[in-house]
Amino acid sequence: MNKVLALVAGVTAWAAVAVVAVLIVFNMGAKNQVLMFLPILAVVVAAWIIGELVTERVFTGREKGV
Amino acid sequence: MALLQRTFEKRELRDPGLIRAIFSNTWLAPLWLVARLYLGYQWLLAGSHKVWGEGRWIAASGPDGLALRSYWERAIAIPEQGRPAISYDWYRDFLTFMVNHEWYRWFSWVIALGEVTVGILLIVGAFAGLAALAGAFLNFNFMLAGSASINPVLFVIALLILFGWKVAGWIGVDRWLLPALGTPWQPGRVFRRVLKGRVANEACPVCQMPVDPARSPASAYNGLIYFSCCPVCKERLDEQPARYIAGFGAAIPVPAEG
Repeated sequence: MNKVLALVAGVTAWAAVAVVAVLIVFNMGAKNQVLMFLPILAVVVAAWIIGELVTERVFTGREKGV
Repeated sequence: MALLQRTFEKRELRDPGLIRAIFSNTWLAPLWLVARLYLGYQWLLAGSHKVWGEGRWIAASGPDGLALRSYWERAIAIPEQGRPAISYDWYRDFLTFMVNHEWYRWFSWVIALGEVTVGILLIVGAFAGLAALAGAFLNFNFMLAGSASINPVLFVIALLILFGWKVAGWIGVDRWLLPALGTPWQPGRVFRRVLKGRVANEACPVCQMPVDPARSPASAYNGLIYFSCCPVCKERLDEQPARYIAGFGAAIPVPAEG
């Protein structure tokens, strides 16, 4: 069960990155490329942290020190 | 004959440490992330103009791809003075063929959705190498059609990401996707599960230690999967597969799961 939840969390996090990137770029156009780049970078880093701390830990059992 | 044999004998030239550190080591993953995000952002931006808004290429009022037709017609035109936009006649003939056969109607969808897809894949880091290759191919075609703009810069970044495909998506979906899927020469968990029912060996071909098909490093050779007991043995097996597998014999079929 833990593995399913961890996998769902990882997939959702990266799907959210795609959705956020599309929403930002499609709605704001090329008004300010730096301002658009930063939130995309932020959600990518957030997804990466979720992947490392939740998904990867559960699948490799690193939280148990294995 | 001896000259030919000496010239074309199998000899692997290894990359220097610096090249491997840049293109194969995860320590530069943050730099690849920035390059990937910039390139992905540019493709998403370019694609957004083609699928969204007043000047979109597709699903607009009237036939699709009129904007693409105008672009192609401008590219294939030969001015009375000065140089034409396209330098290669074969490429001009190719675009002329597509204009004459009204390929712009469906090609506009390919380009518009292709740009958006490349942008999204690069941003999330899924199949980053393939996405970069597709982007580079688009850049290449735009440049052949006479459009410079930012295409040369994007082309170079795409090539770099292509060379660094193993680590370009490390801070991204490829971190899990590539090990799961693997490559033709090193099957990942998904393909191993599929192949496990067909062929596997029970002992390492190099040192004869027992192998675990679920975890041991795998190599593909002559269409069969061979597991090694450790990365060192896998490296030896990959370097001289014929030597070890000839001594080892045929791969041993194991029963399918379930």
